[in-house]
Amino acid sequence: MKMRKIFCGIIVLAFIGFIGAIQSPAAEKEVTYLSLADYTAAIAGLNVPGDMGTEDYFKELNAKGGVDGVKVKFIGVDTRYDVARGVSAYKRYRTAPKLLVANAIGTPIGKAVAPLATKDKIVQLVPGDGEFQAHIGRIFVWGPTYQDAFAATVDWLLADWKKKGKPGMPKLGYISWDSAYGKEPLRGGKEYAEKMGVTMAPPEFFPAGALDHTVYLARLAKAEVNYIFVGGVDPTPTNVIRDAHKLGLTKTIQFFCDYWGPTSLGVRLHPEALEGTVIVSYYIRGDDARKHPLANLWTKYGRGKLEDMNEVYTIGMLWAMTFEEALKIALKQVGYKKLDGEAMYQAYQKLTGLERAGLQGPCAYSPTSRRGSWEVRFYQVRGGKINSISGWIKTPDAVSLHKF
Amino acid sequence: MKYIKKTIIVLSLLMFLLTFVACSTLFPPPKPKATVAVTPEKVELAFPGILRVPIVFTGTGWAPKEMVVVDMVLPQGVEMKGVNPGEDVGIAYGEADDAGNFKGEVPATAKLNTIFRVGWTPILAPDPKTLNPIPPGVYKIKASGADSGALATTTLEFVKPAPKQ
Repeated sequence: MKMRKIFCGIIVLAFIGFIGAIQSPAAEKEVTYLSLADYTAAIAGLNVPGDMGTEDYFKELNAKGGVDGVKVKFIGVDTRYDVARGVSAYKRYRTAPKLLVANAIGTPIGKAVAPLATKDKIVQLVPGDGEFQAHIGRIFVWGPTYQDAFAATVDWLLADWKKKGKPGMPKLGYISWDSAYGKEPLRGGKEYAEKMGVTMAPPEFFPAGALDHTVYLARLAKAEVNYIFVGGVDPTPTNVIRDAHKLGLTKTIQFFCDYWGPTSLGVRLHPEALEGTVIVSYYIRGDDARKHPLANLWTKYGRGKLEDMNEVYTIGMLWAMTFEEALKIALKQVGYKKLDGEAMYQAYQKLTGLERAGLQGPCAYSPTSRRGSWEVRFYQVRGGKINSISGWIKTPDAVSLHKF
Repeated sequence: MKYIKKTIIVLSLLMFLLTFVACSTLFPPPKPKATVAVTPEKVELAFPGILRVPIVFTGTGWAPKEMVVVDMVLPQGVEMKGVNPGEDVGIAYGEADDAGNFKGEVPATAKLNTIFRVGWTPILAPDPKTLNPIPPGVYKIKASGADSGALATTTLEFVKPAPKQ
């Protein structure tokens, strides 16, 4: 009797195991994309909409079945300008299943995490530091480097000067955060300006968090500059130009901003002060961005009204599109089982010429290039809107002019 | 017969012991245990005074040139922006030297974000109105090696600031 009970028990357990086995789905194939970003304060204006774009693009991709059945898991960590948090978060997630790419949206965290990411043989993305083009490794820049964009702006202002029929050569001023990011455009950009015969006034650097910029601007005005290039992530550049407007400088000096200059949302707040400001950008902005078919992901995934879409959302989609294409190549090369950071690294170097729906110039990644693209466009604030004033223009190579 | 049996037993024992003696040379000498210490061990939750007090972690026995990450364990109920419940929060890091010694200081951003749980204004300045210091108490600190996986622990005590005279 006892034996019979034991035998029945074994049969029941085996049956339960069998049912469980046939009901559990096959283990889902997944890879991980890690974002180490500051989701608060100034850089939040870049990081939050940027990562929204990435997350939404991956949601869309996964809903369509992923890349050959492989889904992408997005992990976003708020590092709050804190390098210790960034390093700790990277260490925590470095063992995530098939972590292939870490995007460090901030220069200091990017530089701190680089040794670990390199040891782990994954791909790391950083904003625009030219040193990663000068020293080729596993770190890839989102677009043209900061110095390349600065050099393209020098070309633009020389053409503008000539068009206006002014004699001699213009003088250029520069103002930005007192940080590694703030100084980066001049590492090669300054050499390019000199090469082109443009004199530069001594650059002005102010601490992040400065409420007033009139002292720095007054010094540039005293140096009799004709153009001023303003760095910082919005709202900082908007606040600098607002102060310049108060001083009456915007009437006589043409102001420029870099990639992180005013978005359409910032322009709405200070349309008068920003009127005429020229923005150099490696991604589409203003109505160009909002009218793009991919912008519908913003509303589809409940981010709000389209007119409230921050154009930086576009950059996030670009990171994801680039990842998707590299994943396709890597899977083709090694298959899912052997897929790792090394395979992804090899794949990123094969993306040369990749078109990304016109959101950015063609991809320039190659075995010898870490630039996300070579091209920039110029936009200008007119009538409270950001309007395109150029097509895609290839930037000069300013990185090669500097000794890193 | 009895003699042969005894000899076989002794020889078997010898063979058995020899295996261990021989194999012991294959193993490297034991690694020194990783350690971590903090100076000072007690910190006043006084703002902005804390920004002037260096909180420094030092340690020995780590793998040469490895990155050592220092995390603070958050007790249950202590919430922190940017940190999921149950996660530790990074407060310092440093690279070990060739001898396996490391040093890492808590940066100002970690003091603001983690010890004072401050918010930031849109122009990248800490917002003093949002100061929300962590509860006083003894907090567990975990240092871990990024290459070796070694782990060492210590504690750091946060105390209420002394009342103003």
